[in-house]
Amino acid sequence: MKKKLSAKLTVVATACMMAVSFAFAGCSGNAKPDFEMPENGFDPDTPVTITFYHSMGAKLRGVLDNYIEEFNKLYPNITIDHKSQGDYDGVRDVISNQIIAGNQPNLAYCYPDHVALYNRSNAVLSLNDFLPGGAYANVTVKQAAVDENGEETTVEVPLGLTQEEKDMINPNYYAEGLKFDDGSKMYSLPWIKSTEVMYYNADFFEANKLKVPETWDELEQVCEQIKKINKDAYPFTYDSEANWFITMCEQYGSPYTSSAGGEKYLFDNQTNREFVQRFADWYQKGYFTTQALNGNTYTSGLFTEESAYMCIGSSGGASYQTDTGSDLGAPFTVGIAQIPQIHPEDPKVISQGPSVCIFKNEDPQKVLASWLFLKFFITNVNFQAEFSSVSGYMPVLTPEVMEKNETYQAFLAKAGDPNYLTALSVKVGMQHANSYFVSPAFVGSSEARTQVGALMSSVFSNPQGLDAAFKYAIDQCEYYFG
Amino acid sequence: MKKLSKFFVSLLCAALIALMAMPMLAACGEEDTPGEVDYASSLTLDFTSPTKKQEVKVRLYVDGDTTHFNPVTDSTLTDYNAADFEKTYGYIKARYLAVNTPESTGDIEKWGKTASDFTRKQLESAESIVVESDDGNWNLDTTNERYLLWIWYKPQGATQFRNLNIELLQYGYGRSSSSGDNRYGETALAALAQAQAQKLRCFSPASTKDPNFFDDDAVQLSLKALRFRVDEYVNKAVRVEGIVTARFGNTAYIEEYDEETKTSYGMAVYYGFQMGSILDVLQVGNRVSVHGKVSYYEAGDTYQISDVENNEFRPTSKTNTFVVGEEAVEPPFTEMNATDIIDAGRELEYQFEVEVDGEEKLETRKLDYREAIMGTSVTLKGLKVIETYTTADGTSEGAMSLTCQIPGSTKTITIRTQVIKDEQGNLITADKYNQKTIDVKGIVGKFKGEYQVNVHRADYITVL
Repeated sequence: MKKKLSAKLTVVATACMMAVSFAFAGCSGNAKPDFEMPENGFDPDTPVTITFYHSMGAKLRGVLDNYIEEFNKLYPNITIDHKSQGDYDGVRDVISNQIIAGNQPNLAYCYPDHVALYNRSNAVLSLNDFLPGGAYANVTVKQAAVDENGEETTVEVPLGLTQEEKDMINPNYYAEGLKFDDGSKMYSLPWIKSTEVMYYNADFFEANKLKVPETWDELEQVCEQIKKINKDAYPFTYDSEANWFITMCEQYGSPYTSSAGGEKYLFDNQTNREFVQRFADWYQKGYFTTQALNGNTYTSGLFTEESAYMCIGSSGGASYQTDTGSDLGAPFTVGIAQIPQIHPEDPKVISQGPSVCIFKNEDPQKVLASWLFLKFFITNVNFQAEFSSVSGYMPVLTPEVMEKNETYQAFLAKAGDPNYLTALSVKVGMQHANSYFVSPAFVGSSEARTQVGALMSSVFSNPQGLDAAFKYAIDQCEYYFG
Repeated sequence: MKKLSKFFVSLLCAALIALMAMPMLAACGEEDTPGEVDYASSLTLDFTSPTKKQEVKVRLYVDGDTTHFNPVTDSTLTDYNAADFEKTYGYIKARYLAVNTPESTGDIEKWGKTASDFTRKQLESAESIVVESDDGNWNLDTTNERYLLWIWYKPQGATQFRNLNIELLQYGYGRSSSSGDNRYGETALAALAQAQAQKLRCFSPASTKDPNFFDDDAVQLSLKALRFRVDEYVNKAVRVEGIVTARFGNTAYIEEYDEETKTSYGMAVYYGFQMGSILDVLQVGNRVSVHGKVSYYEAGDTYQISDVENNEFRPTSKTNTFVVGEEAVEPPFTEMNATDIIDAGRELEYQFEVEVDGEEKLETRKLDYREAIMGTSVTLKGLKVIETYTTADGTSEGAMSLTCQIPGSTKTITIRTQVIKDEQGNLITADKYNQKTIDVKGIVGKFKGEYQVNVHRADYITVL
């Protein structure tokens, strides 16, 4: 359980420096409102440049650029300067530094704990006024258009998110932006999402007449059956111990963490100890391995080489769960199912993937331009469709809305084709879109995640160390962020 | 109060680093600007610290943030322990901590080749190179083959080592990769912040040109022309046509027959881990029009086209790779004498027009025949397997090198297999071929300068 001392202190230091900068800002007088609408609203004639930080690779940046062209047909005065800042933590680290200096971007990919960190400086714009029922619900903006004669013109469209647009978005994804403090303020909107799914060797299951498990009890039974068929194989693997722990808490309805004030780290309780113990027993029987126990290597390799027959991992990693590197074709048929449940009638699966937040800015035109950019991209069916098909992540819009894009439907229709495993993964993910949850976010919530993952690995290897592992995990969280 | 003191410790650290670094002007490295802090020299390689260290020499330059090294076993700077690197067959594949440079081998990204060139230049000029772990262990990344390392190099004539990871960040050659989450995190973040503030390279405006990145419309040319002039097209977008003859290692091989030279010319097309319509396009037998960027893949000792796509949402996109024609074509696997693949001395000629001072002139290029047929499909008959080697570890565990005597000759050629299995899915081992005579179908490739034939299917080897 090695402590990454400098990383934790960096986050602590950054959080505290942000808090200090916020305190100084407060000393200068009354706290300013998040945003003040300029008298004439959005100015469509004056050029404005906004910066957007993300972690997209080259192919996804290409997709983004194509749709920025479309966005600019509506808002020709807005220039988008977007940059990849490495991985998600890279985005967080860069912005954390910039907030202290006051030169953060206008928008950024974010996870909830990033937003919690940024808000130590009160840096993130609350979006409530732009949402249905908000202060700007009846404000309009001019959007460029072409009339029936092919002449350039403008049309007035709502600035804020209309109710109809809000209803396009998966409500579970939408709700993630409220998972801060008392839950009254929306600090982010979802950009693209992923979840966990269970990949399984469909040929093996069929040949051995095995049932694809829907519950953890059924999984245990299948594991026992598989060990009798192949004693050397892992019946299943689970890439993320942290996700596993957090998901089990949600499935059991057992406490994990809380951002509501008071005690934050609630995961040391009897229910959680029992499921960790149960899985430790499974590990001792050779039922599974995890990324950490597999030498910190993704377990998809075990699955594709048929050393494991089920693999619970990211829906965005489908292309790694099969082998399309050769003209021999995939060595076996890959099936994808929802991960096992405690209560199949009320399934719970973790939601992941980036959201986007807007940072406050002295220039209201930059804030408005940022909002228009964000609204365009999360409600644009074609963008969500193309981005999803390239990334293998799930669109944030509901399946019903996504039916409007025929090319996307054709992509999903190929879900049974071995060359389109990403389509199957997206399809399965979308089918269970109502099962998603996110955990509360606060400074230190990512530490909780790290610690529960570590305690799982520790107890799997040493079931007698369960008490010590839970105590250590709590102590670590409270020492740095309590 | 406990938390306040932790906060002040970190604040002091960051402030101290900034203060200490202020007087240090860039003593090494290029493109110094007034006021720039040389973070790469602000850190000291502490040989007494508990981290793992090993003096090394470069084995292979891969790209800006990945290099393969051989340990210096008789180093006077570090203690060599062979057991440390047994898991990785005695050498060190280094993935640089804290920095992620743009791609330059698969997808080719802006600043990728430039970053790769910078890393190579710094290490080539080094008098000594030491790799350092982030803690007391040699830590592998999620591939389980690459070590996560700090790279220190001492330039010729210098007295101190410089940290290359920090230097890459400082000059904007790479972006953050958990830059703060390690032992030199504060310096890494400071270097990153400086590059961003100065808008260097990766952080420069979109209008800033990378001299090694070409974003123009693709040059359309034949596979033959590309083979003869491939060095001119590295990092450029091209469009070529050919028949897909094979697919393995996440790479499709295309080729086209040239009547004039009575020779087929081929090229590797790397598509990576993409799924979907690009796989439909790159089916064996399809005639395809490929759009992509040319790169030299050093680890495979081959040129390739990468950054290929087929976007179903943009069927008319000028960057799509797509199928041409409707009928599938049987891959040729041209029968030839194995000596043609290994013997030096035979050259092919290619003439083409170029414009010089407004006038069109004829230019002639010559190319070694062996190089010309790289990436093409061939059939070799009657090879006698006299020696075998099987890769024992790693992702290629089970792949075989069959040393084969060429019929009617004392010369030998290597047939290199992928991991191949029989119809029941059982691994095929070398004893099946050892001392046997075989016919093979495969793709011409190269390994460590030696031309060979790569075979990826069990049914492409026939035991006579």
